[in-house]
Amino acid sequence: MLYFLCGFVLGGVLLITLGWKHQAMFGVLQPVYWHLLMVGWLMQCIFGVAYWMFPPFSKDQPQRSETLGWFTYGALNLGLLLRAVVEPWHSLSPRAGVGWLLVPSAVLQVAAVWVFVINTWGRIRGRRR
Amino acid sequence: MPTLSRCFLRGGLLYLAIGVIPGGLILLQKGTGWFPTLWVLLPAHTYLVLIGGLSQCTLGVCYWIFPRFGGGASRGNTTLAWCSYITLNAALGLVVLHPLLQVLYGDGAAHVAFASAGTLQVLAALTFVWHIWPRIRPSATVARRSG
Repeated sequence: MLYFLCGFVLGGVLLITLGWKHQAMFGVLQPVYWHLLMVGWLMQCIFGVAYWMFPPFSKDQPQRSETLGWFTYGALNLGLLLRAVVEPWHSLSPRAGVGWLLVPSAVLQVAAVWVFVINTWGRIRGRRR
Repeated sequence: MPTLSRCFLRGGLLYLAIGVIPGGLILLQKGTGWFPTLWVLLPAHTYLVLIGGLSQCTLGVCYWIFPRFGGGASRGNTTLAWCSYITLNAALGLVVLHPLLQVLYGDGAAHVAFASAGTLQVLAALTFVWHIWPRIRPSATVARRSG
């Protein structure tokens, strides 16, 4: 819900600044705006609901691996926050050192999704007989 | 969980896992400046993640948990929902395979693939809405409590 709020605020700022003299400065926030909404809010809500209400994996491990669940949460948020700071910074002043911080951001986000898929796969099943 | 929900969800997770790879590569490109041609993957990234991944996961959960008919025994016209699953995945398959079709049969084949994918995607949306519309109502328990 925090990303929902931040995404909507950022979207509002982008709309308000449309046609401003310094609009290009705000324009670099466009990819961050989309990813806050799609990854931070929508994808994270879907992951949260799936983790909560999908059929239990087993009696002992209803969520399969809680460690992998926390890894998904940590990696997705760390990767996204890193991107939210570094991507516009790098676009405004492209310096090699700053741009390289997007590498761990990409790796963290991709790893988060893959780990979620692996951890959730076994919970997609019908009723136990 | 019903079979169709399992199909939607497994398909959705697969497309999500595949779709984030071009996204990650594009972000790497942005940071390092390597291989600017990677930007051709941007439409594939957005299509696979949004339509193939997030939409299919949402449709699968809707089909599973929305209120049912006949005291929970029936999900209504399930043929429509199956049509939606098949047409959506056919559309996704055509979009994924279009570079191959372009190489093998030229630009014309790629255009036909996109046009067919677009038509199938519209059909998928229409059939799912047609199926789920009557299920958007209070569940039997809530209706009994308020009535």
